Amino acid sequence: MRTLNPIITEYAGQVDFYLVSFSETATALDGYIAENGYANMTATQPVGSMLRDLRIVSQSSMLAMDANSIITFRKGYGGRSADFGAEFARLVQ
Amino acid sequence: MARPKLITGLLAAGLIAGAVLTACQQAETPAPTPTGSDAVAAAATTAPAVVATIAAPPPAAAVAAATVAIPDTPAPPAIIPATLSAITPAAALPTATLSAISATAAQAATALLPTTPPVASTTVAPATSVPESPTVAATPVVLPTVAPAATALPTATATAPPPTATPLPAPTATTAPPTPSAPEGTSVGETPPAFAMLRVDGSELTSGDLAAAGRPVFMMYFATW
Repeated sequence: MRTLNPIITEYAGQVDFYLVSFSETATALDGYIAENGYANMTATQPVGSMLRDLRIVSQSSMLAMDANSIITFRKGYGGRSADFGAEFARLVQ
Repeated sequence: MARPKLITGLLAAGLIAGAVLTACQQAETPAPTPTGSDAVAAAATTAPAVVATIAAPPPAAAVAAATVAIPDTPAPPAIIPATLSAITPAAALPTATLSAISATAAQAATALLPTTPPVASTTVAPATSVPESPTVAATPVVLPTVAPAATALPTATATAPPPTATPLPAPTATTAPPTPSAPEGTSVGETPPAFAMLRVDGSELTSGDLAAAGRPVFMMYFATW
C-alpha cells in the first residue's frame, strides 16, 4: 500500500481507487486508511457474491478496469511484482 | 587737457553703459532659448524621429547669429554705438533663432501631421462612412437575417428532432458495444459480471455506476489483519 499510495495520488481524479475489504467491514478499512494517512481511496466492502463472481480468492488481489469496464489488469497475492505506475498510465490512455 | 579728460570720461561712461546693456541683453537672452529648447523638446517628445531635423536647424540659426554677432562683438569695446547695434541684433537673433526653431518645429509638426492626419482622416472617413451607411444598411440586412433565422428556427426545430432521434440510438449502441465486444469474464480483456459494493456510509456502488462514471477503476481487495 505504501508503494501504491503515491501512484494513486498521482492519478487522483483520473482513476477511481477502491479499497475493498476481503473479510472485514468497510468501516474497518476506512479506519486503516485514516490511520496510515492514505488518501484518494474509497473504502468499501463486497455485497453478495462479488468476491466469488470476480474470482477473488486471496487478499491483496487487484483488479483494474478501463473506462469501458473492460478488465485491463489483475493480480493475485504474491507472484511477480507489478509495475503499478505503468498500469495506471495504461488506464488513463 | 580738460577736453581729453571729458572725452575719456564720456567714453568710459559709454563703455559702462554698453556693458550694462550687453549684460542685460545677455541676461534676457537665456530666457527665450530654454523656451526654444522646450519647444524642441516638446516636438522631440511628440516625434522622436524628427529630433534630428529639429536639432539640425538651430545650429544653422546659431551660425547665422554667430556670423552677425562675431563681427559686432569685437566692436563694442571700441565704439559704443557699435556695441549697441551689436546688442540689438544679438537680441534680435534669439528671436530669429526662436522663430527658426518655431518654424522648424512647425515644419516637424507639419511633417508629423501629414502622416497622422492622413491616417486619422482615412481611418475616420472609412470608419465613419462604414458604420453610418452600413449601420443603416445593416439594419435592414439584420432584419432580413433575423427573419431568415426565424424561418430557420423552424427548420432547426425540424432538424432537431432527427438528431434527438439519432443520438438515442447511439447511446444505446454505445452501451451495447462493450458487452458484445468484450465477453463477460474475469480475465484481462473481458467485462466482469455485475457486482456491487457497500461504502462506509452504507450507500451501494454497483458496476453499473462505475461504468456510468466512465472512468478507469482500480480495486484492491485488502485485509488489515
